[in-house]
Amino acid sequence: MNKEQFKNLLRKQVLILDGAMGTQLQKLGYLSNALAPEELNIKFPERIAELHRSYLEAGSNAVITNTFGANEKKLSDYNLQNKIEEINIAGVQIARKEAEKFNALVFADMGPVGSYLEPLGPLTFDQTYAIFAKQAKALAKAAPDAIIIETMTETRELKAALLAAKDNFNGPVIVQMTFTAEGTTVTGTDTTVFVTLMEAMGADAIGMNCSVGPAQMAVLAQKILSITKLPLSFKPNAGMPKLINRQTVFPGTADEFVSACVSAYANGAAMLGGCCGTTPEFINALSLALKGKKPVVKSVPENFFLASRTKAINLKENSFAVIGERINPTNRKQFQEELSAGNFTTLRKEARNQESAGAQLLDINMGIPGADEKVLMGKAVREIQETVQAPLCLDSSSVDALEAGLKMCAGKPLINSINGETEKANKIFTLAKRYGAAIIALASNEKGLPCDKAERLSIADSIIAQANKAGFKTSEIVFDFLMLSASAAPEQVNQTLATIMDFKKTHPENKTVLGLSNVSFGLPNRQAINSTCLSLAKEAGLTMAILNPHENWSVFDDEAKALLLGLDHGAKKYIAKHGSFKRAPVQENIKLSPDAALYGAIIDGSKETAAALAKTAIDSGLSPLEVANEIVLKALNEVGDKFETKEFFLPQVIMSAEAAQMAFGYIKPLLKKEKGFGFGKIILATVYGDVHDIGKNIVGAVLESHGWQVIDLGKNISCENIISAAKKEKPAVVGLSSLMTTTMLEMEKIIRERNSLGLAFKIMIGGAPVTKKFAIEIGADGFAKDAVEAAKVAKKLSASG
Amino acid sequence: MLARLGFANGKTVIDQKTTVALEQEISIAKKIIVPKQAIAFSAFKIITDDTILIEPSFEIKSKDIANLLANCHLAYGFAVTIGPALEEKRNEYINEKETSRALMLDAIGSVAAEELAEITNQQIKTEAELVGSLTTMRFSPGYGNWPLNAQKDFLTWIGAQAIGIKLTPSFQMLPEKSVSAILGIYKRQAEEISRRFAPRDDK
Repeated sequence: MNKEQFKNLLRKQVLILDGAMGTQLQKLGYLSNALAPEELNIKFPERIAELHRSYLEAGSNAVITNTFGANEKKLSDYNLQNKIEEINIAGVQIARKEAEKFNALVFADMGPVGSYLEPLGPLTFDQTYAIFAKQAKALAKAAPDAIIIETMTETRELKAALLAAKDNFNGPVIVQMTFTAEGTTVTGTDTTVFVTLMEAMGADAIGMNCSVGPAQMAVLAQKILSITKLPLSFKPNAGMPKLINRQTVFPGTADEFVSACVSAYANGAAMLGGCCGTTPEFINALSLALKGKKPVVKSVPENFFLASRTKAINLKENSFAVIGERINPTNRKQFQEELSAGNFTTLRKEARNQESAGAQLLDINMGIPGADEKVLMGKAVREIQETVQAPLCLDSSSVDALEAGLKMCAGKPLINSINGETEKANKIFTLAKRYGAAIIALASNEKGLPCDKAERLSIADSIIAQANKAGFKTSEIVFDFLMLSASAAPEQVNQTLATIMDFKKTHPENKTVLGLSNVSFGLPNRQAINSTCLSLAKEAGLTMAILNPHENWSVFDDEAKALLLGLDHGAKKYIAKHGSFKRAPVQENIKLSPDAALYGAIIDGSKETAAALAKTAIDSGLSPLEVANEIVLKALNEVGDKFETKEFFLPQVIMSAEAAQMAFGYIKPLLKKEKGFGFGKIILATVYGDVHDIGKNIVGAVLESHGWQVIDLGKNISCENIISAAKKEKPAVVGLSSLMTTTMLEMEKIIRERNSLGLAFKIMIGGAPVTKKFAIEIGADGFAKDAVEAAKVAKKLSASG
Repeated sequence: MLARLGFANGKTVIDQKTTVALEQEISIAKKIIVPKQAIAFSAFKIITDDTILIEPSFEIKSKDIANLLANCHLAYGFAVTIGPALEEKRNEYINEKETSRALMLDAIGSVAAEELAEITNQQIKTEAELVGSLTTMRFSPGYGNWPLNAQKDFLTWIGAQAIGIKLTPSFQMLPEKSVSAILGIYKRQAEEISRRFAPRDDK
């Protein structure tokens, strides 16, 4: 079945899907001799066939294959990764054989990979896409009627799955997320964001399954159906499952299930079935309830959503939207240096501050001369989007950088920008359609910005024609008719305002945007002009602006107005009024001496600047040894003192330690030939049988920051391996960690072994159940209750030789 | 969570940088924690002063548990977990030497697991109160004289494997941020009676 046939089918018929697969297999005891449920497709296909049959006999028009977890990552948990193709193809074939008898459809199931994408988890977008693509390819070989992607909770994984399915399968793709009682997925995505993304990326149908119970899911279905024309699939479970006395109990009844399904149908749901806990009886009751019923069609207004992972904004309802412009390193040397060094502190701060100041979207520009914009754009999007809720505006002239940003983006951003240059515009239309984005289009082309209104409107029309040809939704192009500097091109302001006004009349469905900061270039009291210009542009019909949300946008100045409208030639009246305007001085940061700056950075835990400040201190004439001992270590000692008085708590200590490590990263190579620094080697290990190591790692970070060479053996380390490492490395001290009463006793074993071999190193111990008394009892040389004390104890032990 | 990280009310001064860092990790944690619970309950017999047989065949050898369940008519066990994603993320931070982020995320995970245990305890308590019963305090393997190696049979009785909890050879639960506990249900009048007639300490 192709996409058109699928659409037509759903116009004529309500589809009854099947019910639960996994919980039915469990209930029937069919999982007992299989590694994974999907393995049954090749090991006991008759069991799966039986289940499909039971749903078809109950009234299902479409069955869903037993391939939910049949992706490479999940199958590799059971060492079945080499059977991906076999399992997936078998899954479709088993379903097809049964479905054919009932003239029913087969939907091939794809479930989550089982691990999150960065930054929430370890997988990259490309890795996740590859995993889904392999499964989709296999499924496509068996020619299902549709692919259904189920139980998604995270938007980037969702995007990877949809793209993988679309790239490898020509038929319709249905995408479902699973929502909690709060109306969001566990990663914070609500139904509006879900709709926004799936409409933008061209899913053929969307829906929900499992998680929250049927009645609550019906409420969410109503929400979705009020904002999208996409067909909806509705697959609730039989209530939130409970694991009671080793049995999974689904408290929901068939009555509750059918009632919720009928409600969803009445609101327009096109495909209805059941998820975990539902049975053929549930499906039978549903199919009888909806027998002969025709699809309900409801009218839905046109929307224009942009979204982040957790928030969607509807530009159709927003009378005016502000795009914050501050994430742009142009002419900002320090910001450029920070970004180039991988320091995103200012980036995150700008994002948060702009959102707090009222920006509804955030423009991200990572164009730095000599820097890899593609890498920076990906990193910037990753850093910002977990920090703020505002949707993003990816600002770059590099197609590669835009793609990197789009791949990293968890929402539906705006792309800034295209213009009338056909080839590049087509590339960006393709990207926007693929990853789901709207576009800002500049009314300029390879010849530059046209002088007059007519030509600008003509370029806009040609962009719209190009978008139509490329299959891109033209109402999601936001037009920028460009505002030049009023001092350099005074007549252009009027042209821009007139263009906006005319465009609004001829293209009411399109939004317009302007970047306002340029208009006041070269003139005093710039904000008076910027703000007045904004008012004039809004009057003309402007709907969005890229600006600094921290500035005052309520100013309206008559002289500025006259200047902007071309009534003040040479800006004489304006300059007469504002010529002596002096902007309130920005409070200058007190310039610290290099040693004070570095000392402060260690105290503050500013790891992003510590290495550079260490360099500055050494360049100012201090020796590396002085910088190490008199600044960094001294600062750490103060941090330790603050920790003991509880002025600092542990995160601050560790941040200071990390800053010190960064400083030492610069200083240490210069110290090679100098004596008088550092305490030597220390080996750290969590003892055998214990897999806790966060405490040990914290101790390691603090010790390293104090100049120790830390050799971290890891966790669950046997006595033999610790002793062997100690013989090889000859440390001054060995630090042992244990977080369980059952594993503490290993510490005594190691001490005895050391003693019997006559080895010279000292042993200090620590960990939650470890006490000073225990340390004395087993003959340890030292005990530390926390990381700060560990540094002191290690120093003392090292000095005692 | 702050207390777990050494915060002292009235003494510790948290700067904006640290506040933002904590908020960021909380935001990530909220997205990746997947809370699950498994509950089991059963009648039981106290065979000796340190042996309890929970039906059908789960034996506990612990004087502390025998004391806990004395006067009770039902034993409830639960296991909760926030899932493996948080500690996987924490380990990623450790590998990337982002130790402060690992520390904060780890603390958040510990608090979340304890909170989940508390919620589960409260749910059991509420159910018990509906039928005029009360709950004892909860007790976990590894505390008092209930040895940690009891975790194996205890988790099997609860059915904790179904929510993804496994044990290491040294009986540590994985995912790490998991909690298991036992508590008893007793009828209100038994408690009141015991209060009325329990011998007082002579001073």
